Amino acid sequence: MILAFLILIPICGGVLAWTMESRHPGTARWIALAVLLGNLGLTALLVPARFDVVSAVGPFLISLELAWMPALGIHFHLALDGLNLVLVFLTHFLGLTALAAAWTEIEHKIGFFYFNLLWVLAGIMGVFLALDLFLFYFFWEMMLIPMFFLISVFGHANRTYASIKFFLFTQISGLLMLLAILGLYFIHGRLTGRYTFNYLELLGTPLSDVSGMLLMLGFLMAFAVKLPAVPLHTWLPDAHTEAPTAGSIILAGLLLKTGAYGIMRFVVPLFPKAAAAAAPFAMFLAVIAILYGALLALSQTDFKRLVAYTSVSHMGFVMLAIFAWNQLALQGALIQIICHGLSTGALFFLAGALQERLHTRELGRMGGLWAAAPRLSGMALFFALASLGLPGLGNFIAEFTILLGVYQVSKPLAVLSALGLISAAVYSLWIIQAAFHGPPQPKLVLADLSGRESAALLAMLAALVFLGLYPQPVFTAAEPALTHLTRTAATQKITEAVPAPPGENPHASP
Amino acid sequence: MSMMEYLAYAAFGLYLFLIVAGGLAAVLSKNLIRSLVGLIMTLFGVAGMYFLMSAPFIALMQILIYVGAVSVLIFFAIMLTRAPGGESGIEGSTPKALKRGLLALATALMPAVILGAIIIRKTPETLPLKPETALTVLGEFLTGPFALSFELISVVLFVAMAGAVLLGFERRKSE
Amino acid sequence: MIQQISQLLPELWQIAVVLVLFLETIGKPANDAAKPKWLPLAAAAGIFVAVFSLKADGLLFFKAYQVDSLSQFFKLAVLVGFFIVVLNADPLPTVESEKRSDYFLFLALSALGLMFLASTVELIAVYMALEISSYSLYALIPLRGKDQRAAEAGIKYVLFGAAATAVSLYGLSYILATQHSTYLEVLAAADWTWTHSPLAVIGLTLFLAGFFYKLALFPFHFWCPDVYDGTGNETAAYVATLPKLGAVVIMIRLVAMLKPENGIITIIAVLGACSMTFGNLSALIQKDLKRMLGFSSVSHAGYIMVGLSAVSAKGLAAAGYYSLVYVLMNLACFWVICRLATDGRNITLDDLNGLYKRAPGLAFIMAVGAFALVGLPPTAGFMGKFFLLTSAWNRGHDWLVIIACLNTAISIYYYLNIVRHAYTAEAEEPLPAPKPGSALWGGVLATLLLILGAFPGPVFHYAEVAGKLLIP
Repeated sequence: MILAFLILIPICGGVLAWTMESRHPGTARWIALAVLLGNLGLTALLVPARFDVVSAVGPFLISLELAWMPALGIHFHLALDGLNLVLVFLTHFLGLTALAAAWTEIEHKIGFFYFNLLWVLAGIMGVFLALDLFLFYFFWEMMLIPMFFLISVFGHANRTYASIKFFLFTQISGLLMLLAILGLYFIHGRLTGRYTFNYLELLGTPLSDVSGMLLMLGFLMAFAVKLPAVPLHTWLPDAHTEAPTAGSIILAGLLLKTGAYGIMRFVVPLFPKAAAAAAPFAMFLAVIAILYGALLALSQTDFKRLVAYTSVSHMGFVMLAIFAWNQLALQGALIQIICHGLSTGALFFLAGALQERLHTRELGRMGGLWAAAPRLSGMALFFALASLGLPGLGNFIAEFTILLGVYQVSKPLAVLSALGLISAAVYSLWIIQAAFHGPPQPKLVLADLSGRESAALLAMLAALVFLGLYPQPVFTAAEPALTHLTRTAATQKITEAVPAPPGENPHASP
Repeated sequence: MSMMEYLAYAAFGLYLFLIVAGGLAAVLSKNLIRSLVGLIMTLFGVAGMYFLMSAPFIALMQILIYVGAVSVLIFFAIMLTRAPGGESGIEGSTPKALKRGLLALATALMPAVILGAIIIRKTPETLPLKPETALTVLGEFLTGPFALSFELISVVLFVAMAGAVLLGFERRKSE
Repeated sequence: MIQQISQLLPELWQIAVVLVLFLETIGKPANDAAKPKWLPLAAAAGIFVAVFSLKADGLLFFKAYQVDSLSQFFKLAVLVGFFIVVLNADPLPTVESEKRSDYFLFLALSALGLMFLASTVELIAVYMALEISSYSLYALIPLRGKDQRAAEAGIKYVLFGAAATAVSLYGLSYILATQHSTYLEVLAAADWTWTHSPLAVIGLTLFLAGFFYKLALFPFHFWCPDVYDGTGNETAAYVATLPKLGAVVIMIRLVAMLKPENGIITIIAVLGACSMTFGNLSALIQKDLKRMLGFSSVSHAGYIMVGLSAVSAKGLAAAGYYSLVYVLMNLACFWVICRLATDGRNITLDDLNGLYKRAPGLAFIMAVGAFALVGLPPTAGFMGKFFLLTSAWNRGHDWLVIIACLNTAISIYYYLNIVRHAYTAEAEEPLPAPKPGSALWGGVLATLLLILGAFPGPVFHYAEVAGKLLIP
């Protein structure tokens, strides 16, 4: 039941925060804080002593299955393994960071803000935990509406355009995924007579080449938009730039990760053959994303936009690793997911903090901030270094592992993507140089980081350093789950689908 | 074909002419009274069709109710409300109006032609014409299998009348 | 006899309401401006009566009147809708005060006609029930003060309605000529293939046209936006919602007689696809909210066809479920429109600007309504669409499912536009804030939409049971 509570508590907390708005608007913050801390505590309870549990269906530590619409084979099926445990932790961590960022930034419609914040977190949690494809889609779409409101109501000047663009991109690609889910549901049902959305049962559905490829593309479209993969990334800079700080943190730190998680959990294991066929192409696109994102980041003058483009580049690494599909690369991808969430989240946090103080995001109008705000600048330097992959920090481990994994699959791609690391160094240092160094601006009054902001950033800093020095806990936690995923994908019986005899009623299942 | 059949075709043609010509007159005439006369002609034609189908009771009812009552009622309504003059401002036969008329004609004819073609090609089997249905049988039908429809008609009439009253009062006020 | 009365309880209750209203219209003095205060209570009681008789079952009036799960489901839906519409028509700013009880009389009569429609299984009675509900609307639609547009809307509705009815009756004559019966029981056993009885197929298609008209399905949709636009907001709320229920229930009954590979089913599927596409594309450019909802209802008529074209118990249940949800989500949107239009004017998108600041409750209702119309979780609109799509998949109309998905994608834009105006745009001049407490029943609708979205099981299950009675 704890799994259901993880989702239910934020939902109820969100409603509560909103209803308090008319009387005590400030309490919404404390409600959100209490909800997230409580949830974090609950998650901590779930951490087991050993991760390599032996189970027939997979290395699931705990699972929950309730009948929802059994007539259609839809169950409220949540399950937790090492992989999504790590991601749920990340969700809470970044949720708290977003809360810290929004604490003073959001001054009006506070209740509504925290309602949306908690609901989007609940949706993300649901996406990470759901093992029923219908439920997964339900949460996938559910996180969209609050995110839309976060951008369109609380965002910056050009928020309407950005929010609608974000919504259209994700929703339309989501519909393709819905079609693919339905297709898989019916193909599986026709072959076995059991109509179900249960992920574990759908694994290993034999598919013909064509239908497998089509269904795989349906899923991949939705995930590639979220990730974002290169031709589909255009919503991202706008959305990140116009969103409020907390929204940017959630977007970069979590929403993009749902795309990566989706590919890991669903695309490759469900359609191993089609995914293998598409892998060279996808990896090529990923390398393009790495280089193109870095190149575009170099030409930005807007702090948030720059960071947004670095996300494109960094998520390219994740996509590259996932389609390389070996243990090493996947481990790297997971670490990259976490570290990118932390470092980019922190950079957005800092961008928000600067905007709150300077009312601009233009790097050209900053400069010389180091003297005025040494703590803020120091933090910025640290996270910029993390982002460029400084050895000793988590991002380095991630990218290094990914490159090692990819090297086994394709040497040229590994080399090309390593070029992305170099450009990362350039743009990261460019931020520091433009914003913080240079002659100090006279008459600049700039409050340094407050205690709340410092605490949030310090926590992220500590996490990055820890992962950089000792990433083993994450490897240990995720290893059984990732092994299981690779093994399912590899051992799947790849047979040609036998079409049902004509005239057979596909709904005649018992 | 026997003599009777020829006569039947002739009568059918006559009634058809009455219906179509009456309908056209009702729609095209600029004078309300003439329109009404056209309508009455159509109704007579329909009554004739009933006779042809050996349903004299329905035919008589048609004449009694529609020609006798409804038309007279409309006539009174016209007389009491406004002068029976034609409305001005009807568009002349400009090329545009001609084109529009042709298009309308084509639109109206298309389904008729399609349906007609299908009917001619696949004529349904006709049931042998029964001798005149006795009134008692008709009555039993209306109080038996079609009792519900019969009752619902009264509700429809009630709604129509009440609606006419509601809208009629409104119109008088707004003028 | 007693048993028959118990089977007809919802209808009898509605007839009693009509009678009392009628007495009130002729009995009260002309300057009495009060609207019948007891009516909401009576309508609420009607819902309870309908719930109470959900399990009723029987065949009455010489087998012309079927009381079964399907009919009771739709009667309940009609009564719920009637209750909301009555509450919604509370200030009724555009109807002259002495005509208000007449207004409610015709509303109640129209709902009564729809309830009859849910149960009639004999084509002439079906036609009569349809006419009861239509005639009431003919009287209602022009009632909007001295507004010229309302008169135009009224004329349009009558003329289109008369034409559609004529087509329908003409089709009925074909059915009668070839199948020699008007009882659905007999017709269901008849042969509806094109090779065997082409005229019957044509007849049924033409007969359906009358219901396409009610449903505003392409190509019988031309009246829809104009009528919504012209008539009063409260009337539009009714016209947009409940009559569709009546049309859907008859179409469910008629479609259930056919084989899935029948040509009529293909026609329905094609018209559905055209309807969605045309409705959505036209809605994209609308500024007037009611016109937009008008085109949106054209497209939703198309979505409902997706379920019907499946010709399975699941498909029929999905169509029934979706039409119920459709009524609820449209009523939610119209609720907001009527609250905003305190003087009864038409609401444009710009009137929604800054709604979030003025009336957060109404903005929330609007958002739930709009997201439900898009079909996003966790609203009931999503579940409804999901049921429709799953039912139609693998039934020979996969292309229709894909078109429906594409259309959903198109429609997102304009529904989102509503939300955008309500939440992010700022009003240029301060608009009057609606009365406090005005969001109450709209909030109930929004909550219903959310609950039906999270737990659609029981209602859908009931609809499925009803569908299984028609197609085992």
